[in-house]
Amino acid sequence: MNMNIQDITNNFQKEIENAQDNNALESLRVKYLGRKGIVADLLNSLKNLPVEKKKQQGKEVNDLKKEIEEAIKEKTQFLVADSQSLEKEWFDISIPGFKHPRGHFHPRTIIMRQVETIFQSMGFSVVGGPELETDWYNFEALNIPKDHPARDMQDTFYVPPISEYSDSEDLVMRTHTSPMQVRYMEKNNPPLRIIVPGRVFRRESTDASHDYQFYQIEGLMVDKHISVANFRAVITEFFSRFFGQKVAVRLRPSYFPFTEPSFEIDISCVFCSQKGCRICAQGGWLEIAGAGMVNQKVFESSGYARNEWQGFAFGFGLDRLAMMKYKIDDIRLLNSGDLRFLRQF
Amino acid sequence: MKYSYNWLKEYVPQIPEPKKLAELLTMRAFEVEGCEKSGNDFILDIKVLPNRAFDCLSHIGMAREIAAVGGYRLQTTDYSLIENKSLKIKDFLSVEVQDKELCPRYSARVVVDIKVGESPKWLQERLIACGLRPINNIVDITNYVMLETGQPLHAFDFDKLEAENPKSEIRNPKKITSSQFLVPKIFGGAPEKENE
Repeated sequence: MNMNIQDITNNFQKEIENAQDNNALESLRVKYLGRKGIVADLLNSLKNLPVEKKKQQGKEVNDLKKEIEEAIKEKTQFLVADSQSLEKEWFDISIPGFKHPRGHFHPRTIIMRQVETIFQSMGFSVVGGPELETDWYNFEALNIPKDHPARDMQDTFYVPPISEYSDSEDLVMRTHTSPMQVRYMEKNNPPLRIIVPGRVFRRESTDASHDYQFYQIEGLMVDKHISVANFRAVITEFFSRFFGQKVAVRLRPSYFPFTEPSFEIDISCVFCSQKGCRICAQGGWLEIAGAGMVNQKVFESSGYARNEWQGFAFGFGLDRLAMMKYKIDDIRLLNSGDLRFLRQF
Repeated sequence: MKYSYNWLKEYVPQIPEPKKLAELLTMRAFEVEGCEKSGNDFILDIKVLPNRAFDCLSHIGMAREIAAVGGYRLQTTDYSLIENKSLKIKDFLSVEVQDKELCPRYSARVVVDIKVGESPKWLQERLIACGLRPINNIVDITNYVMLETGQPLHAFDFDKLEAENPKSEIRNPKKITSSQFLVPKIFGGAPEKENE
């Protein structure tokens, strides 16, 4: 009998090791612990033994039973855990790969590139300049002296002088891209054709059509014989190509200290073909840019001789163009960084 | 600056209808930012830029511009002064300008037999049309002349000037203020917003 129990234990160990699923375990349980199982048989055989032996053998059989129960329970848990982790790590090699999200351009960048492309095709170079500008380039060189009322036309962020970088010159955040006219002409001789896209700053409160920083495109063309007629041709061609339709341009008298004469530029409404709509306030015209013939004083500031050269300069808001093209109704969205807005482009 | 259409019409009798006038000015001179009916009058809000502030921030100035761009005749009123030739201004008043750079010229005149009271209705209406508040006939006439000619001026109460050495002192135009308008803007060329 003793030998018997030892054999049974050994057999069971082997068998449970080989059991790989719940069914195998269940049949193992029936085989050993079932009503007609091996353990039950053993218990039955105890009946015929004398009391002393019965006690000793009975204990052994009970230990065996416990051992088997424990082992089966353990193995069951192991199998369950094993099957769960298998499910988790399930890897379907037939699924196609997913695309990594790629960045995309800001609407203003898209418009800027379109504008640059059109002007480049007309022979204009694209140049850039500093956003922190000296008072000289931003104002004085452009015929706007310190006490001139024209300074009130733009609200300026004045910056305390930084002794490290300049000889305590007065600094401003540039209020327009026009300082580049002088900076460029100082280093280059006519004939010249440039555009200057860039960020500018105004100290004013914001609303749907005003922000304290926005983008401008400056244009400058200088030669011996450049006239308003050349300007009209260039600007008409630009807006027609930009909006992809024939655009009429009209000039109205205006004033900028760095041009003489100066004008405001209206284009025929590109939304209603001048029939009158909400965007052009029923007028059929959209106010879109400022321009003029370069003031001789600006040529002098740049180191050119007076009355030697003629040229036109113009400037318009890039944000405004983007807003018109994409029908954006609030300029502040462009600087908001709001992904719900940006993902639409 | 705000301009009264009726007032302009006084100087330019052939002046076009308000809407036409707004269009004419916008295309030939200045942007007209508003054209509103106000009683029998129209108020035109005309944006005069700094290069033309010196001559167009007044009704006569604007009338001159309208006459010029429209090819109309300009008709300004003549006036004459009643002066007592036997009196010498030097006996009554002297003017001291301490900074000739800031104030190249200052002129003054003594007016007598004034009765302070309300201005006539038509004058009050014109002031209101241009965004000013009528105070009394003295203050109103200075404002009226400013809106008419572009020349700012100020009235002092002669009795209240220092009696022993009657003297109207101008130290630095920036320091002189009156309840009506700021003097410094006169000499620097007044930005239009100051007049509104």
